Amino acid sequence: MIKRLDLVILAGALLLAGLLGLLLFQGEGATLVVEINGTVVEKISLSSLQEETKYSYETPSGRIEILADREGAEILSSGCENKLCVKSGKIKKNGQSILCLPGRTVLRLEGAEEAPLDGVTG
Amino acid sequence: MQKRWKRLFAFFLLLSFLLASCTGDRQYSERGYAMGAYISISAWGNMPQGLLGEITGLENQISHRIVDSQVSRASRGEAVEISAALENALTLCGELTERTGGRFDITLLPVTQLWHFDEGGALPNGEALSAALMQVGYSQCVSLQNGVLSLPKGGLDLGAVGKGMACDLAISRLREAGGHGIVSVGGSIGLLSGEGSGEYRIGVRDPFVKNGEGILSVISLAEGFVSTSGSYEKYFEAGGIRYHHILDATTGRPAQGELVSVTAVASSGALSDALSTALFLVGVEEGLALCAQYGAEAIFVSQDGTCVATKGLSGKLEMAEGWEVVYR
Repeated sequence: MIKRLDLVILAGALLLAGLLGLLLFQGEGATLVVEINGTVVEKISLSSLQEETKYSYETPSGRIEILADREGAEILSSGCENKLCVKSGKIKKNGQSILCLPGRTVLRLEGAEEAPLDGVTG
Repeated sequence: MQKRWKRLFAFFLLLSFLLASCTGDRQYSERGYAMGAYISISAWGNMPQGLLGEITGLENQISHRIVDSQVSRASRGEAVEISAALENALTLCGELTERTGGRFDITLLPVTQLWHFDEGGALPNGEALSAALMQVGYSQCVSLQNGVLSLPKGGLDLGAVGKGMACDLAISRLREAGGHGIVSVGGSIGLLSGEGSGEYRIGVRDPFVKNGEGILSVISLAEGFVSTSGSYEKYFEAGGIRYHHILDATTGRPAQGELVSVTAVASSGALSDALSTALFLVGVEEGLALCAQYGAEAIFVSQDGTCVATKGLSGKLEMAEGWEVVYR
């Protein structure tokens, strides 16, 4: 026989599981992922930035400087020769990235609204 | 009371099982660089070890930029024993040279070196270009017998097929390991289906949107290989004219056709990669016939914004707003 207390415990457990699920799987704002040589060196939650913030990293093609704010991120300067990464401009949407091949660096915006694609060709 | 705690314990046990089952197969991912490209591997179920190292190993065999590669040694006059994968890729490329009337040709290295696209690009001197073109021609440059490669003259640039070969290698290792997933080497993608993998969604870059921010279509595929060649990838401007990196081997100059990008879907990575370049060079009409010969599918995007796809892709494409496709 299920007693009233059992039901209370059951309801409590379900509530706890629900809260846990919310904590674990809730969407977040955009996160800037900085990857150098295939390794994630930093993850920056853009929503936590109070103002424009500069970040600097050593890469295989020299020092790279990144400017990030709550809206997005861009590469300000790079030690690479072609500066294609600097010319790429600012990324603002989840799923967008800037690639610096000589510097083996990727800046990627990740977040809950990321386009549900498994890959991109082109 | 004790009974009640037992019930509670059983409930949490059940909950743990339910949560654990939600996560499905374990996911693995590996990222890095090889072949001058960003490589991303996402696998489920199982992931072979050292895949990035193997791709670098392949690059060391086939890149003309690596002094001791099989291809470089052959261009210095050595008869070099090559891998079956390289032999197959060379045979495929030779066939494509024939089928494109010589416009696609991997022996174009003496010409590509004059354009300096790796360093930002520069217009070659006309005389030097003519002289370099004399060194080009698959049938006269490549000798391939029983897995031994020799190059009586010229050199090989496998840029049009190398990334696809890397996808082939990675997907084959993934299959051997019993996993499934997606491998991306630059713009070439390999897909391997597995239990519960369903269809993968691959975005095709919009060639008219700067910085790769736009997608013109999404292809849904359970398995296969996808590659794209576009005139927007590498180019430079001189005297108000834009020069892109997809060179026609009959002229030694950028292809002058109507296309801005071609995406090829094929049964192997080497084929999808080489075919995307070959289709770009021959244009839509000849390209459709070429696709039929290889049982491949393609999306052709022209400079005027029209988009043509092979009929086999009907029902697999989800066009972005503002884009229309004609199936032929």
